[in-house]
Amino acid sequence: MSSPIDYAGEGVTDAILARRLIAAVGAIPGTDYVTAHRVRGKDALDRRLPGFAVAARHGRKLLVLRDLDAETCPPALLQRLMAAPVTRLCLRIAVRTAEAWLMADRSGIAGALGVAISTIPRDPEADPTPKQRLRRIAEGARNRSVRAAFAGSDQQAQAWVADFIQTRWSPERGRALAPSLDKALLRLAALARS
Amino acid sequence: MKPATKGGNGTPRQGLRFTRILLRNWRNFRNAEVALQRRAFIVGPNASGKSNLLDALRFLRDIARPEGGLASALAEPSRGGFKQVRCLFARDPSALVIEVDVGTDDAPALWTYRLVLQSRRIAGAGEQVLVEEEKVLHEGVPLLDEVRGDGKTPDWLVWTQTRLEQVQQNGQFRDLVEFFASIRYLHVVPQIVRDPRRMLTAGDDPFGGDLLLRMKATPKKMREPRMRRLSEALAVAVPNFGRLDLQDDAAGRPHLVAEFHNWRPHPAKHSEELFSDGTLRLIGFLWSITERGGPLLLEEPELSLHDQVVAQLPAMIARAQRLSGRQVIASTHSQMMLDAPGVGLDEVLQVKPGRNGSTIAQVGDDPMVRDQVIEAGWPIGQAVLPLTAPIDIHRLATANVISD
Repeated sequence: MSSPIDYAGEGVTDAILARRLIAAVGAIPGTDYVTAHRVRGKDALDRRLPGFAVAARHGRKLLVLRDLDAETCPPALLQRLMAAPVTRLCLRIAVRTAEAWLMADRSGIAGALGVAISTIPRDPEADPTPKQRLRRIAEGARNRSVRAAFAGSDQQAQAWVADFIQTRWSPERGRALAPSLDKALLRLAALARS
Repeated sequence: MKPATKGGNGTPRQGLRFTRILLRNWRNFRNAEVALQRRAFIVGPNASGKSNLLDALRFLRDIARPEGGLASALAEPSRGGFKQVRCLFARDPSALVIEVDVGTDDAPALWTYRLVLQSRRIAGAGEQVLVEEEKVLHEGVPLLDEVRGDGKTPDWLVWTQTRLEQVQQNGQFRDLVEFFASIRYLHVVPQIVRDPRRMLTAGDDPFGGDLLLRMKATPKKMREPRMRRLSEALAVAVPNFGRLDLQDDAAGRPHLVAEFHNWRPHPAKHSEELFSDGTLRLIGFLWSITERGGPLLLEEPELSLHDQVVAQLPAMIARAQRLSGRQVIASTHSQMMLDAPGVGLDEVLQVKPGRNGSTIAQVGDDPMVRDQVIEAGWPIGQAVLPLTAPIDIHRLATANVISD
């Protein structure tokens, strides 16, 4: 059995996403470096990267998820964050945000939101702001509780997203429409085998 | 500076602290050993043994204190006898061992005490807990070296007591006995501090029932400046908090009375019955750390306190220690506490549960944590606390705890 894969990200939903991805490649999720962490967001995550590199150097396997957001291209961002690749540290960038990966499972998210599949973008990674796109789609949901979740704070919407990732999202379906997700799963599978 | 009190062995009694503890077959610990600093924070998952580590030190206190002894220490309701305190993971040899070093920064093993206990079937007397071995070393020189050995003394009753508890036999190491007896365990339960009946019955109450009596027992000359400093600290941490005083009621029972500022010209006065849980816990914490005495054992001092207050506790302990010299060992789950400036890698002890019982280590002994802190600049809590969470903790949120 391969050793567990520790994980981190920008926020709580990244932790849930990471666990699904790790399980999808047949590995076991290890230490959660994000859920109980007080300071969230990409700046905090970027500052913590040297510590994850240390953990990898000490033999731990790690998956770190980060959004690309407004940056131009993932390789340039990876290069900026980590000049030299670190063995056993799998830093993966979602283009543009993790919501694109979620929407890439079109049938899954349409069913969960209760909207027509045609309202879900066919090329979610081309959307410059997938988080806002998801919110707009959810506002047209038939289910009142879904609409209420997305009409409130980000925190409320995150709870719906977290539940969706955990119960209905399929990384396998998603990877077909989100190349950055596909690449993340490939790299993660290699990490699990290593 | 006040000179250190000299004990019978010519060693400074004040400033003594535990510098090492070894536990075999004690509750969660089948085999654990760790060095202890003057300030120590114990972290670990729930039920991993943090409190049981503190309890091993309390156990020594309960044996050594004047009204104590081995039998009563084992029979304490929180312990429930030898079989309850012996580790579930115990194998052969299943004897229970507690060994400690007591000393100073310069002489960490000034004293060594080793106690080995075992339950034996005695013909006509049933199961009895016997002292199999008891040793006291002073600067490496044995002052007591008793090993029971089968048939060595036919009178088994002799082995049901430790030499610690026998005044006629502990003269050579009275300083050590007094050190153990001076340990104070505190886990302030606000409801108990507020309960006036508890004040009358509680002698040395770990839950704070005697807190007000202890304050009253402090000579006025010392108490007043301490109360003043306490008021100042509380005014910073508790909004609208004013002057704090200790006043007797008609029956002579002491009460804490504090002024609370409001929109009226004169502040309102409230006694401890109306203080918040957090205020009472903070008072208990601040009073105890500034009390001169032996090691102070605290259970999760962060309880009921705002994160920003918690972040200040380690610095308050360090400042108080400069005056009191008192060792403080606290269990905690708080990242704020561990991330506070000044907390050292050798001050944080991690209890790790495993299939063979729990182990204890300074987090600085974990090369990964050490490098994350020193090389990558992570605060200690950030590096350590994720490692103390159960691996499947995320499943708790969806656990079915409500029956259909």
